[in-house]
Order: sequence, then C-alpha cells, then structure tokens
Amino acid sequence: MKTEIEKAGLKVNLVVVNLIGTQDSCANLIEKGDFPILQDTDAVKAWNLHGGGKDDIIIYSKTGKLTSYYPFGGAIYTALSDPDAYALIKQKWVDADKAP
Amino acid sequence: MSRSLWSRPALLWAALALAGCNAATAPPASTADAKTGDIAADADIAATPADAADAAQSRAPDTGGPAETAAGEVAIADVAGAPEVADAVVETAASDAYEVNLADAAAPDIAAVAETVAEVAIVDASPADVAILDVSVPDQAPAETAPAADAVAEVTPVPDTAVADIQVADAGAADTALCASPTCVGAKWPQYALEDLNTKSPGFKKTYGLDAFLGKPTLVALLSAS
Repeated sequence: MKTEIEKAGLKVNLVVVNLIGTQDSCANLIEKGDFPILQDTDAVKAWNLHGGGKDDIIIYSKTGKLTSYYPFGGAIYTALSDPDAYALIKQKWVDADKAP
Repeated sequence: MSRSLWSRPALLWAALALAGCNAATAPPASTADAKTGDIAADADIAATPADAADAAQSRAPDTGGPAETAAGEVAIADVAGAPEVADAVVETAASDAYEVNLADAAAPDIAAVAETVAEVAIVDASPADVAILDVSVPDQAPAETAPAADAVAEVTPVPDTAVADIQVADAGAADTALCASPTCVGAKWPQYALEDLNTKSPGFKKTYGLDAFLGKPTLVALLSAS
C-alpha cells in the first residue's frame, strides 16, 4: 500500500510498533519491507500510549495529529485482505496529507 | 465675556468700512459664510444672525447671555448700513451662540474653556478660529460619553461569549475539544523513543520516536511479530 501511494506521488510513512516481548520473531515483519519496526518495551509501553491494541491502525497527519483510528474488531473492518478495507485505509492515509 | 470684546471687532470693521476699504479689507463673504456654516454643522448652533439671536436668548440666565446678545445687537445698530460689518457681527454672534451650547452641555470648567475659546475667536476673527471651534466641540463630549462608556461595560459579556464560541469552532469538532484520549481525532501522537529492529530500515539499531516522521502522513500499525 505504501508503495502504491508513493508511486502516485505522495510521500508517506509506515511505522510498526511491535508488541513487547516478540522481538525475536520480527523476521517475518522485516521480510515485508524496509519500514521501521519500533520495538515496544515494558519501560515505554507504547501501545498504551497510543491507547490501542493488537492490529490497530492509526493514521496521523503531517504534523503528527491523529486523523483516523481503526481499532481491530471495531465498527470498521480493517483486515487489509479485504479490498474494501484496503481501499478505505489507503484513502484515509492519502487524505491525511491535507489534514492540519 | 465682556461687552468690550463684543463691540471691538464690530467697531473695527465699521471704521474700516467708513474709511473706504469696503471690498479690499472686509472679510470675504464666502469666508464668513463658510465659517458660520461650519460652526453650525459641528455644534448645532445658529448659522444666521437671526438664529444666533434665538440661540442666545435661549441660554440660561447664569451665563449672562441676553445682555451680551443685546450688546451685539447694539453693535449692529451702531454701524448700520455697512454690510461688511454685518458679516463680522454674524461671526461674533455665531461664536457667542457656540459658547452658549458649550456652557449648557458641559461642566463649569468646560464652560470656562468655552468662553476662552469664544473670546479668541472674536479677537482673532480669522479662518483659523473655525479650526479652534471645531476642535473644541469634542471637548464638551466627556460628560455625555460617560454614560456611553457605561453601556459598553455592560455589553462586555457579549464579546466574551462570542470568543468562547470561536474557540470551540477553532478546535474543530466538539468531541475533539472534549476528548483527551490519544485515539481522538486531532490528538497529538505520543512521545516515546524505541529501537528500530528492521535491518532494512535506514534507522536500524537507532532509537527514536514518531517525531522523526514529521512532514509526511504516517500510518502506525500496532502489530505482533509472533
């Protein structure tokens, strides 16, 4: 998805925050791309700071303000294997470029 | 104001008229008319001798107006037959009527100032006097504007309410203003620093936070590698 958006001319960032204690298994994530994988720790508890949980997707504007938040299992289906969900997330990511 | 001040310019013009200086030395009729017209417009006072007399007669007894007005009229009678003198008297009468308005509308201190200004107008008898009179008109305003200031103070809460409305509007959606959760639209991303474990990433082995991604729309996925 990131590649598609950037081919369209828009530069975006993709960041993964990996669950605490799963760093030994991140090879499967690495093979999917060169995006940063920030390893969460007990000291930081980044997931809690985001207020989210596993498989949540959060989109921020260029200035770091939240524009969309999609909790896994929430009202909006976000499994990227679903074409509609994929298209929705992609569009929201693009729209975030115009958000303050 | 003394009677001599009233009669001096009238007698002066009368003397000049009798000396044969009619057109050359008499004040231009247009200047005199403009002066009285301006004064009338600014101070709502009489623009004609008749109006000036009416205005003068309406002043309060403590201002000593009627006697002075009579003196002005006497001056006209003394120099009857000289139109230029009549013009000069019109100026004097108008200025006197102006003084009356000030005295009626203002405190005693302002009345004293008004009398001084009126005297200057009579003595100088030049177009600059109009400017002096124009400037002096707002000087009598404070006593009347004080209630207006009070009214403004009473209205002050209204702008405050408007400002409050604007603040809500500027903050975006109402739920944004009330929402303190990091999942709210508009919430700033959290501040932390974590190590990048992706060997393909330019930031591999570096510890940094989300501020490193400012400038581009950023998708954060909370995933588990297991």
